[in-house]
Amino acid sequence: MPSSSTAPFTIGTRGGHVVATYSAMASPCEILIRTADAGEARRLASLAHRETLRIEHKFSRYRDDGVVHTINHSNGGPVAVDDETSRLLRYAGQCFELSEGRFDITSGVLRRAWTFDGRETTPDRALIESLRANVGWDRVEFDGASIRLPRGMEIDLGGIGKEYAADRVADLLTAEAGHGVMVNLGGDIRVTADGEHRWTIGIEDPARDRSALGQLDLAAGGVASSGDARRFCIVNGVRLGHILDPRTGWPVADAPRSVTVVADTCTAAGFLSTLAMLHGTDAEAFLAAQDVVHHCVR
Amino acid sequence: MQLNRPEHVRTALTAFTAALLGTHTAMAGDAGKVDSSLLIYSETNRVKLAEGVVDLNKQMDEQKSYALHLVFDALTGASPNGATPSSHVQTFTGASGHAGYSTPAGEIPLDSSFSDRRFAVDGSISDQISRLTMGSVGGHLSWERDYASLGINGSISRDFNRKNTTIGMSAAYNHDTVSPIGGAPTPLASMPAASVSVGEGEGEGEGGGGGGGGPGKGKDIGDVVVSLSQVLTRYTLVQMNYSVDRESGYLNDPYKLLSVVQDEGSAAPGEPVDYLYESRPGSRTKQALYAELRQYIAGTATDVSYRYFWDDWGIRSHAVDLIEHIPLPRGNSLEPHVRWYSQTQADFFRTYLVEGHQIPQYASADARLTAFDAWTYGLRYSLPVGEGNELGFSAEYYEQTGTRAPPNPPGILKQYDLFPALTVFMLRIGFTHAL
Repeated sequence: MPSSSTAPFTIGTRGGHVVATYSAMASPCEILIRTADAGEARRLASLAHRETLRIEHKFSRYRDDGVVHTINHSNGGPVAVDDETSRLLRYAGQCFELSEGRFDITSGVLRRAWTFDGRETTPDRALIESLRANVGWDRVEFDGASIRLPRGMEIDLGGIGKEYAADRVADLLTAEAGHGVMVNLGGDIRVTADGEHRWTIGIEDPARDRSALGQLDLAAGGVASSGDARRFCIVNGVRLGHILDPRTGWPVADAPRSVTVVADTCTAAGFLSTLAMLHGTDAEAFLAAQDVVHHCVR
Repeated sequence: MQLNRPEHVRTALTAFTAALLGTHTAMAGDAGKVDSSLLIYSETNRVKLAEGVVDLNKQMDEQKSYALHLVFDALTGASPNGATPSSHVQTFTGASGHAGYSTPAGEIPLDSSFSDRRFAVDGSISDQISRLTMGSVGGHLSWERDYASLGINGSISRDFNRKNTTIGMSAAYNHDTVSPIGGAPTPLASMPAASVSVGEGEGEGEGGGGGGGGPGKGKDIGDVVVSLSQVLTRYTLVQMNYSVDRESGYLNDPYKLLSVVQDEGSAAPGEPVDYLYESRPGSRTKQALYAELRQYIAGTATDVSYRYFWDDWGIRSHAVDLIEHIPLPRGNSLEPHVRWYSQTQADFFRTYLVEGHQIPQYASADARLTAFDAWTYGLRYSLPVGEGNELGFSAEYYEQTGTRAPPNPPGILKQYDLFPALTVFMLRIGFTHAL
């Protein structure tokens, strides 16, 4: 009863909007909605909360009732996938092609060889090599209806899921509310057009907690960041960030500390920011060639 | 491969993300919800009612939805039969046509054989007709021992001005059948003495369907509502509607009586000499204007509404309603509610008729047709229970005051309160479950 119930979300107001906050995908989530109707705000907040949880539950590799868990525990056998999963896998494959193998949803196993706790470390080269044998989207059989992973391989949609959820929730709420909304899932942001209204989004400096790097003024679009200044290791005196290059099994050399990208959708912004990190020294050049608004912190 | 040159990444990505996000399948969406509630309604010393309601809403896709509304209620207790108090015991024919009931001296006669069960079901389908136009069609069925109702309804609404303006129109038609227990009495006929079957037909109990038109009396009700809702600012919403409702057919309450009392100068002024069944016109046109303003301030929502009602029976009423929605931490909320209502009496309302005076064509002593004021005070508390579910408790207190008796009733009626105040307690427990 009351004491044991967990409130799914809380509702308040900010700057002329109703703001609903909840926790999902291991992140603080925030929805801004323009409405004068408390009941409508609660309904939309509930929708956002449920859709976020649905995507989290379905695609988390930690939940044994999700499709990713099923695929990762198929022991080399084929697994039939539903339409939404199929579209996400197809998109992941396209990202693999587009990034020339830098963005790979099968690369998660490489993390077993690395600990990014800010300390000096001596990598286990034998382990890295053995793990690399289990990495490579090009070795996965996927025909749109079913997927077959070679035994020992795993997929992880963590690099896509939160951005995808931000876009889905924003599209859903926009259709339901009939006007624009802001969806912020732990820094992965999507705003949709709301008449003449423009959304102001602050970009935080990952190196200095909570200090604003700048502000974005957007009518519609997605914003996503990659990089975590606290997650690095030191090898032979060289600081290596946590972004792993699946082609080598090693962290990307000379990657920026963080990259923030603005694109049409949060999913696109997320891919571009991750891919910029994977370009290491050439991150700025890569971003400049994309002709997108971005912030790159070294 | 051209695709892999950096400058082409963004272009290709736009197409890929559009394919990923463009289609809307497997959406949690508003998959649906079930609201269930239990209401306990209790008039002090009068009618008691327990009502269970189940509401099902199912969203099939982004446009189409189904709704089903089920109500079951059980009602017992006593209701004023329209007769005036007397200094003697008064005996009336019961609603069963046989079992009479008696009212002690000096008391307002209450028909204590009041007991019924009602079952009602409403269903509707809503669908998007065009990008900005929604339509719905529905049906209604309710059944109780002596009353059945069958209806259809439809509505259409259209958004304008970037969905800031919605104009809607709805229409409904109901055909009701009143099958009074013991048959429908002839209006203004004397109530027979107890233990004698009453009624113009041969109806003995429900559904008898004998001669003289049978016990079932029809009633047709058509209504049309035109509504406008307008978002004024980010914090303000206004809704207005006008409704017109036309009823025709059998509009009497077959169990309501009028006392015919002795005039001043008689042997026993104010004492009843006869009881007549009421008589109402065969048609009624009701109209109402309603305006509601919803204002959102610092997280709380204030809802103020006003309704003006008038009909061709001479009743005019005003209702002002104020609801404050106060969000509390952890998703809880509190809703205080106050409502004021005032109505004038129907032209043919008579507290009693006087012996020897001309009997009017239409007359009723039904307390609902008299002039009165009423206040309602309520409080609702709701709390989230698990994912998307909500538990709500509400309590309301209703008090009818200012009921006006005729200024100078004959004889003994002067010493009685002809309209004792009515007070009602309502408790409702509701649970909303997200599907």
